[in-house]
Amino acid sequence: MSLCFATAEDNPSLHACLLLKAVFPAFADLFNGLPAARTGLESANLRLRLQTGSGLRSTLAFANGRCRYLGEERVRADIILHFLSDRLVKPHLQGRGFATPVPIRGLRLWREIQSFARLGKLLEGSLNGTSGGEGEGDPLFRANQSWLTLGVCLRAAVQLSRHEAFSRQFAKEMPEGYAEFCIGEDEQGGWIQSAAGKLAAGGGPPPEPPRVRVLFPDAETALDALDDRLDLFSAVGTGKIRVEGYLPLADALGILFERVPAYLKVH
Amino acid sequence: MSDLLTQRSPLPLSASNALYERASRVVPGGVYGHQSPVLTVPGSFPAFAQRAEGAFYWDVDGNRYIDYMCGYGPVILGAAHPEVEEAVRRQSGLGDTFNHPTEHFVQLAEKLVELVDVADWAFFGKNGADMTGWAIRVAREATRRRTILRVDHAYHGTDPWCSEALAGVIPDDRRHVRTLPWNQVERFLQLADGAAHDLAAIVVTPYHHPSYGDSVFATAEFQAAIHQVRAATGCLLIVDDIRAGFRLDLGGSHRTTGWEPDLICFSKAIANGYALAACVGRDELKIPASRVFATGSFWTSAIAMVAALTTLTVLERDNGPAFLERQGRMLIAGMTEAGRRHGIELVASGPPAVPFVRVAEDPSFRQQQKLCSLAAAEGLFLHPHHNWFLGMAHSDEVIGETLARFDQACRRYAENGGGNR
Repeated sequence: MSLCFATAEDNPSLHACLLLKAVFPAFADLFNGLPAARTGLESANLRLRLQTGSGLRSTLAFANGRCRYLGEERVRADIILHFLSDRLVKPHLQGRGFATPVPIRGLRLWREIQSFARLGKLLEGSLNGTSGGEGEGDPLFRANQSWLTLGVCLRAAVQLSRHEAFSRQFAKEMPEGYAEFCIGEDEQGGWIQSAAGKLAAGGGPPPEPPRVRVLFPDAETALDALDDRLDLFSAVGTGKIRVEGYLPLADALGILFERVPAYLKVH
Repeated sequence: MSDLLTQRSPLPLSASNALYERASRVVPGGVYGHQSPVLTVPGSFPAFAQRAEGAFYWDVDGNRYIDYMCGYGPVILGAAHPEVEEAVRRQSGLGDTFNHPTEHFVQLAEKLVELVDVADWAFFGKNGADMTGWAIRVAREATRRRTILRVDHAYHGTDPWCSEALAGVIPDDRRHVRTLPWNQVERFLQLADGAAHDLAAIVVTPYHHPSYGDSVFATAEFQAAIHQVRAATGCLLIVDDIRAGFRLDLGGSHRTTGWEPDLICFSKAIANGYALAACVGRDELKIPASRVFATGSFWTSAIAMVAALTTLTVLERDNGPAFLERQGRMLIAGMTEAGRRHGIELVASGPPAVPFVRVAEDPSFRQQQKLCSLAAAEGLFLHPHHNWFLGMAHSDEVIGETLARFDQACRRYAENGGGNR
């Protein structure tokens, strides 16, 4: 907890952006990373859009057993799930009430919508570490959970830096450069870039050499760190977590990551 | 290229690492604050000390280093300096903490008034933050205003008004504190204008010495703008001379850096490693200062006062600042030359007595971390991200040994593919 006192702003458009731009891409990560997640959609060839009444939109494309996050790209969608207003996103994110999106296109694809809903449950379980039995305890499941969580955190930090007052100001004062976050021996992970007060994030290695690298040795350590269950100073001091390079950038990002749980229960 | 950061340190650090593991179980963060190994290169630097003598420092594994951190500044005469230790021994026989201050308290205040041109009085605490926090309260009391202007990434302690770390800090703690970028005149004038008639104080360091960055002196324009605003608004100028104090000039670093302070905060080198801090100020601030209540059980303890009196006397007798400048210049010239011999461009910044030397074109500091890790393995304690400190024990012989060891570190660095990138 920090200066921010990570209390969530009552900011419906921020909640909507977090769902559409931080959480929604994780569907693709989960689908591509975990075979069990593909059930019912393995042969799907369709585009599914999530949108809100304010005009925010994000699209996933399913084809050839893969899923791709298309972001705000203006493409025709086969299925559209619609939140009547941004304000309905927050209870949805928090699992409260009946604030589910309404299918306004693609009702004939009801079986795929149900499969997508199942994928959503699995994502929720993956992020929360409770898959309801589906693969739980499986190292692959835990690995998935860690990089899904990391991905959501990275993207959520970007959204906070754009739409939340504290984070927007904070991002302006952040050190610049790429920070890379890696998990495990194969060093799967993602990156975040700070440049001129703006943040961007992505998966895999960063496009330029990172100014700082944070290496978590395994999924458990990454999840403990992201879930604030770890004394990070001790973990870095003992070498359990390795931070190579420019520590102030990793520190600053840590401040933003701490704010994410105020909006998203991701782990 | 082999990545030196991923290799095991050639230094035996098993006792240090074992202690750190133990500490991590019973101390938040293991070792906290500026001494945390996280802030050097974990695994390549020690985390625990055993002893020190003169310019040398031994870690808990028995590794000996030529020490260029000097306890992060305090040890200006050299560790276990015989004259200071003798004075301390004498006072220890009489006692340290009493119901009242001793005569040494008055003597030390008199000494600071004699040494520092703007000092008409002195006030004592234990750590630098005791004084910076108190000084801004004095400024607010004297001016009956609230706003404090300070410089981005300038370290004034860990109190909420100025801490670089944000945990546990709430916005209200900083409601009346504004930060400005060093040497940015236009931004400073905007902020000063925005504070209008509520500007209580501007807090600066004699020169800017951020971690993970070069030390930078104030431009004449920046300094002039601050002095003009002070004159126009009646706010106070507080110089936080905790880092460099007594190394550049015994009368305060403002004498070599051009500031005209109303209040100056000292600590670190004042007592050669014994815990003491001081704030000195102009006569017209003595009455408001008298109203700002601050105290601590150990703030007037005699041993630190005696150590400070002896330290200042020795520095005066031996012309400390001139010696430190000469030795610093020798060190910087020798290091940059060693780098050049091995194809490494090094950048030096800061005053020679408080230098910082780093690998050029290295925004991630990874090359610097490699070089300093290799230097540690050669028996040199050179912090990769924080300025270094010269002390009176850094004799010609010690500097000579340093440069020979640094040359070895550079050679190994170059052999392992290091360079500027």
